[in-house]
Amino acid sequence: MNIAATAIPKEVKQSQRYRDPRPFSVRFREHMRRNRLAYLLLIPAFVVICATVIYPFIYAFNLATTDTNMYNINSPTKQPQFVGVGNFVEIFSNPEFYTVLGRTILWTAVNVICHVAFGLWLAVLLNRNLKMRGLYRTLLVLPWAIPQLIVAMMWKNEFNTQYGSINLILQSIGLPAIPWLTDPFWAFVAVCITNIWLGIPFMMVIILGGLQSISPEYYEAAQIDGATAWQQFRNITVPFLRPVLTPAIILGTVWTFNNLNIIYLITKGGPNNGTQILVTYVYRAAFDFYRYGYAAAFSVVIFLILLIFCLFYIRATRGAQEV
Amino acid sequence: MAEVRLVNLAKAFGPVQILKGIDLTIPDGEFVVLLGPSGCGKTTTLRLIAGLEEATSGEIFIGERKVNDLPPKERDIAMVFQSYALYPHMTVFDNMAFGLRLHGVRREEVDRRVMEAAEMLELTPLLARKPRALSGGQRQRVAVGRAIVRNPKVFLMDEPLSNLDAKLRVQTRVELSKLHMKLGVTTIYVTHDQMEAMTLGNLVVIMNQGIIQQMGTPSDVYDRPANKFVAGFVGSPPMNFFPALVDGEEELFFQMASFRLPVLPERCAALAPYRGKDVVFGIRPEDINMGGGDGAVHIPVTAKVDVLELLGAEIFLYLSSPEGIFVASSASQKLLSQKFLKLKATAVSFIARVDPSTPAKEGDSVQVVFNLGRSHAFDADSERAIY
Repeated sequence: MNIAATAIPKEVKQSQRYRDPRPFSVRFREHMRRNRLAYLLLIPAFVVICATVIYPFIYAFNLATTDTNMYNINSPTKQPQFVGVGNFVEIFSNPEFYTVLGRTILWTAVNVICHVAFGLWLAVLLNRNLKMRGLYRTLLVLPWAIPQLIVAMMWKNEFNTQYGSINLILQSIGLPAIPWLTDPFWAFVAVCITNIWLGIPFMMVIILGGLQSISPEYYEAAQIDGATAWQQFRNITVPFLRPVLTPAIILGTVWTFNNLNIIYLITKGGPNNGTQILVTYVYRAAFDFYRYGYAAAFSVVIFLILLIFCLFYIRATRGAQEV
Repeated sequence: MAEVRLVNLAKAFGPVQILKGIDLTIPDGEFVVLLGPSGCGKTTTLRLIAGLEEATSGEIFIGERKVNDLPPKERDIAMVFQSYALYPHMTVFDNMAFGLRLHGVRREEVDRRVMEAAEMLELTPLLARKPRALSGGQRQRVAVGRAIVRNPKVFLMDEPLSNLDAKLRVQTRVELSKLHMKLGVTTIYVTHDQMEAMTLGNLVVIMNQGIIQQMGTPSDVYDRPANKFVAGFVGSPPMNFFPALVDGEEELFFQMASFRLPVLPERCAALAPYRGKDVVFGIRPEDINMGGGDGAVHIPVTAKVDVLELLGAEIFLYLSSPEGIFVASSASQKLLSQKFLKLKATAVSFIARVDPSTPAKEGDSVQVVFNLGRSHAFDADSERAIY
């Protein structure tokens, strides 16, 4: 009898399970022999993942424990020194870190909330029997199709205090011009507006897909049960969207938290560091101050923050569960 | 409880006319089954009554109230959907309580009514489960439970048994019948399964192409079909139809392509206007038996067994009659000659439902007997029943 192939019923408790008495090396060889083709087929993907994910990941962790910088990275005389948790101590003892962290959380929260709210609103509208629905959908997805560089340049011009169309409109109705890119508060508002505009299509498309997968019979049953439009939304739409929204919100949060492009291209973190978020701070540490070890440690901190967020979010929403 | 009345009800989806102005009165407390093939308009009728579709024209009354302009929640109806439409994120209890809570029913009353319905449907041990942890039959019972907790005036059921296996379907059919007897609520049940229709309904409404073909008790529609469609749709295997000519002078005959049957004297008056014309002769498979005949009502016909299907309690014989000699009366011979040619082109094959002890084998030539007392005749053009 082929012992390895014998199915063990799920109900059998761990302690009652059959244990193969053969040595590990024998079992391993047999396992490899039986699954040789499967492992062969996995090798190309494994190599690519090693090169693009696992190696940079380990490298970054390693770099974070050194004082690598522009002067010692390729120097024949000076070698980067192992500093242990020195970089981390420096990060957490720097009061600016907490300011930037707070701003990053605010930036992420504002963006993701607006992405979800507007995305949901537009998706619900598009899910109705509208005339020219295809045209609206195409127009609304358009921001997504434009390269971020172009979007940033376009909005940067729109926010220009003198000739940007937003201020021209405001002035034409008698309101004062807003110093969009020169005042830290308004600069933060400006980058938020740009990123919200840019991120809505993704959320809208994801939510629209989720909405379209909800059988109309649930709404019909709820209508017969006496549910109002709001009660239908709360009791059917939201729970049914949860499995779609959970990964979308996680992705949206990670992308927004790490979104360098928009802020870098519009304000470069300024004015007066008013739009600096963690990732632009890392960029500055790495490519303006050339402190690679410090920047890597900062990246590790960002990674841990996002990891903790994801774990809490999945647990809190139970969104990973099937509806 | 309430009577449901449809007056000249029509529904079109764009250019497609689904319901072509139907009139139907469903008496208070009856179990009425809407039966028909796919696309006949039965589900649309149900959805119009529920308020899930808007009628193109016509009126819908539930009790004394015209409900055309009322939203579903104000029609005092409950519906069981084909897919059950149970909310997957809610427990069985919450599914059943959902409608009551929306109507602002007090918590104790919600609990009492849900527990009562759960007891009735043997769902009590399952109340804490989510729908995905239930079997098909249990889900179906929850869907029914969700409908009955609200004490509606009318139950609407849209093919609620179609997702169950054959055995469970029979069992649930009986349970639904019992439930209706117990609650006595007007029930409108849509199905394309004639077995369900015949066993569940006090009244059966047969629909086709957006028109009501016949409404009556199950025995009415089976024994006295109003037209060829009803005769062919109700019954399994379906009724045998033979294109025929009405021939004869004093006595009348059905002249088929390869055999000839007398018209019973009491039916001659109804068929007299059809002398020399095309009709369709119909007989159910169970009215064709093996054996001799008495020459009066039970007429023997020789046929070949093409296929034999043994179903345990009965046998279906797929028969074809060999070519016979066409004998027409001299007076109508000339008139019939053209039509005879047309008839000859029609394959004469039919089904008989016979006793399993029948010694017939495939390929055998056998003598079967047509019980003319239970035969039917239909106008060849309008397809209406002549008798």
